[in-house]
Amino acid sequence: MFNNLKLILIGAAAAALFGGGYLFGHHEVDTLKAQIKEIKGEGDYADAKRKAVQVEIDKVLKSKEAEYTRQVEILKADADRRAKELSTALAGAKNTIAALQAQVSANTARRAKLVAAMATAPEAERKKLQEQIDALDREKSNLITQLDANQCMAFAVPEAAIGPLVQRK
Amino acid sequence: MKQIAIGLAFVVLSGCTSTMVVPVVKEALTCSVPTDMLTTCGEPVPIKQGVTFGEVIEVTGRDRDTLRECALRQKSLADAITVCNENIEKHNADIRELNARNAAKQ
Repeated sequence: MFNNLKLILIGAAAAALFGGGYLFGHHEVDTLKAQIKEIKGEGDYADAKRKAVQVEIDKVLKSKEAEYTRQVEILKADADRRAKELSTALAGAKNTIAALQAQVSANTARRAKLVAAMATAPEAERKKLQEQIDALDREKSNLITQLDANQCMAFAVPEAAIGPLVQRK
Repeated sequence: MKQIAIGLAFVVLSGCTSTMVVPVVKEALTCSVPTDMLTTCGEPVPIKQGVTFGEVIEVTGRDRDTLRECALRQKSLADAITVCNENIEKHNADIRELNARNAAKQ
């Protein structure tokens, strides 16, 4: 009888101890759960923000790519146009030279006529004729400059000037 | 005695009934710039021995076109990276603010 009572009391004491421990632990766990829930909420919030920022970055990069592609197209079209113009100019250099040479010949002929006319012209007209000759000389100088430049296209660049840029094998 | 032990076991195990997923570290932001913008610049056109003045003009023109394209690519890439950095910095500022708010709570 006494032994049974002792056993019951020990059992009750043990249950009380476990119960107290459980209640204390349960309270602590609830606090931790609440904290974890809060941390999780903030983590989810931060993650949602991160995803939104990533979407924004991807969107802007996409638009930058489109803009870049558009500008590259413009550059290429511009480069093609310039290349064609240059090619046409270089290919037509012979015709340009011939045309300029014809203009120089015409200029020389006109000048010769004016010089001849000057020899017999009265004093009053000489000044006027001289002005015309001077104008022709200026025109010829200009034509010769253009002629030289066009003829120059077919000439090789002097070695001393281009040497350092030449790619040697 | 056996009954008490079983009861205690139930009490103890009841603390293990629920689990909660703890947030893990997420992937960082990425800045995937278009691959076209990562292409390296073209080399200058080679100049051959005995090149004429006309050919030099052609070569110069092509080099200038390459340079223009390279400059555009470099600028576009710099713009893209600036946009990325701005967004990342803005996001990091938000995270700093969040962390400061949490620190203030403790």
